[in-house]
Amino acid sequence: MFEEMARDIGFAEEHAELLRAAHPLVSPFFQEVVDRFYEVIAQNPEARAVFADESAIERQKVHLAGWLEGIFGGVYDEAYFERRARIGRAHVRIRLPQRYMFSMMNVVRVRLQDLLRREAIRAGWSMHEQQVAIAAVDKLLDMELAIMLETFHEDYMTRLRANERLASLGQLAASIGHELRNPLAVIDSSLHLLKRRVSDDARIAKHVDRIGQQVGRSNRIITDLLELARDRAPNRVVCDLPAIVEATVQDLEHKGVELTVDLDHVHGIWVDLSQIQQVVFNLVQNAIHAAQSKVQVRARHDDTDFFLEVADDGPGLTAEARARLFEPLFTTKTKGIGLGLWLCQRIVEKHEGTIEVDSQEGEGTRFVVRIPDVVRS
Amino acid sequence: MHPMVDSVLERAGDLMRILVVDDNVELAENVAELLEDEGHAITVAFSADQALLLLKEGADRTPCFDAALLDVRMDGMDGVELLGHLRRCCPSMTCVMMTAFSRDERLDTARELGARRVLAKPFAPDALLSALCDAA
Repeated sequence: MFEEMARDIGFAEEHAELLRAAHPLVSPFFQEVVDRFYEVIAQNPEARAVFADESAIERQKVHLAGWLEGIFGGVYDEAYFERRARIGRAHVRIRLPQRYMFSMMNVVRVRLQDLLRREAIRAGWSMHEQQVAIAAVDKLLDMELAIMLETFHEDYMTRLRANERLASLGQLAASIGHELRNPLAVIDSSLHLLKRRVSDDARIAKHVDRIGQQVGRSNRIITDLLELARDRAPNRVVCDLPAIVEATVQDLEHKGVELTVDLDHVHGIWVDLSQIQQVVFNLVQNAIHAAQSKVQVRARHDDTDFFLEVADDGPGLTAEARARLFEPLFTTKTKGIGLGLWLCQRIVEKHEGTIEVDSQEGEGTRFVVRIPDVVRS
Repeated sequence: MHPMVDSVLERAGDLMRILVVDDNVELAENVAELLEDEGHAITVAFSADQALLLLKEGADRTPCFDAALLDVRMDGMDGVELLGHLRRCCPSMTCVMMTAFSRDERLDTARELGARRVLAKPFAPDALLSALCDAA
C-alpha cells in the first residue's frame, strides 16, 4: 500500500535521503512547530473541544513532536505505514472531524517548510537541494494525509458495522445472560449446601471445587455478554494497579505456562476498578491460552501514562487476525465468543487510553494498554 | 411441605423469621435451606400472590416476619409491587431484593420503597447472610 502510494505521488529515494539529511538541522526546532500547531487549535473553540483538558493537550504535544521526528526519520516502508495508520485510528477515537486533518496538516506543512528552508540556507544547501527537500515534505505530508484518511475511513466502517451487529445481538445476549443467571444461582447455592455436608473425601472436594470454579467462569461470560447491551461510563476511584494485577492473576489457572509478573511500584491510578480487573483478566487469560510456555505481565508508568503489558510466546497473529482482533465476535480460539478484546478496547477507550497489539506469526503476541495518568497530570 | 407462617420459632438472639419469595422453586428452596442451616425460621412462597395469602392467613395468629427476601422479576405481581404491600402491612420488616438483572430500573423503585439491600444472582451464602444482617 505504501509503495503504491509513494510511486503514484512520486516520492523517490532522493526525497528520502534529503529528509534524512535535514533531520539534524530541523529537529532542534520541532517544538516551535508543535507550539504553533496548538496555538492555532486554541484559537478554534470547536477544535479545542476535542481535547478534554490542558493535560490532554500536553500529552498530544509530546505525540506530535514524535510524529515530526518520524517524518524526518528517513525510513519509509510498510512498517512506517503501519505506525502512521495507528495515528489515523487515534484520530477516529478522539472523534476529530476530517476537515481538521486537512487544515491542521496545512499548518504543519507551512511551518515545516519555512523551518526547513531557513535551516537549509543556514547550512549552505544548494538551491536544488532546498527545492527537492521542500517537495519531499510536500509529498510525504500528502501521503500522511492519505494514510490518515484511509485509516480513518476503515476504522469508521469497522465500528459502524460492529455497532449495527451489536445493537441486535446486544438485546438477545442480555436476555439470555439474565435467564442463565437463575439456574447458575441454583447450582451455586446447591453447591454451597453440598459443601457443608461433604466428608473429607478428597475427590468429592475436588469436584465440588471444580463445579464452583466453572460457575464463576460462566458468570463472567454472562457479565461480558451483558456489557454488550450497556454502555457504562467508568466509575473511577483511585486504585493500586499492581494490587489489581496481582489479585486478578492469582485467580487464573496457568498449568504448564510460566507466568512472570513484573510490577513497578506505581502510585494510585484513577480508574473503574471492576472494568480494569476485567481488562487484566481477559488479556492475561488470552495470553495463557495462546502461550507455548511463557506469559509475562508488566505494569509500569512514565511521566504521563500507566502501561500494562501482557506478552506470550504463542504462535502470534496472522495479518488478518491482527486487523480484526478488536471486532466483537471475532475470535481465533476454538472455544471463545470473541468478546474479551472488544470489551478491553471499549473499557480502555472509556478511560481515554489505548490498547495496541504487537504480533508476528511465529513470534508471540504482546498487548500494551496505556491509560493516561489523569490524577497527577 | 414448606414451613408455613404458623411454624414460627421464638426469636432467639440474632435468629430471624424470614419470608423468601421467588418463582424459581429450586432457588427459593436452596435459599431457605442455607438460612435454616444458620438457625433462621424460613417461610417460602413461590409467587407474590402466595406470599400475600400466607400473610393474610397468618395475620391473626402471628406477628410479621423480621425480614423478607424478594425476587424482583416474577410472573404475575413482581417483587417490587409485593414489597409495596409488605411495607404497608409490616412496616418494620427489613426487605432485601434478589435479582439476576443488576441494572433493573425497578430496583430504584424498590430502594424508594425501603428495600435495604440488593443481592445479585448468583450470590454466595456469605453475601446472603451479610445482606440480611446489614439490612436488619
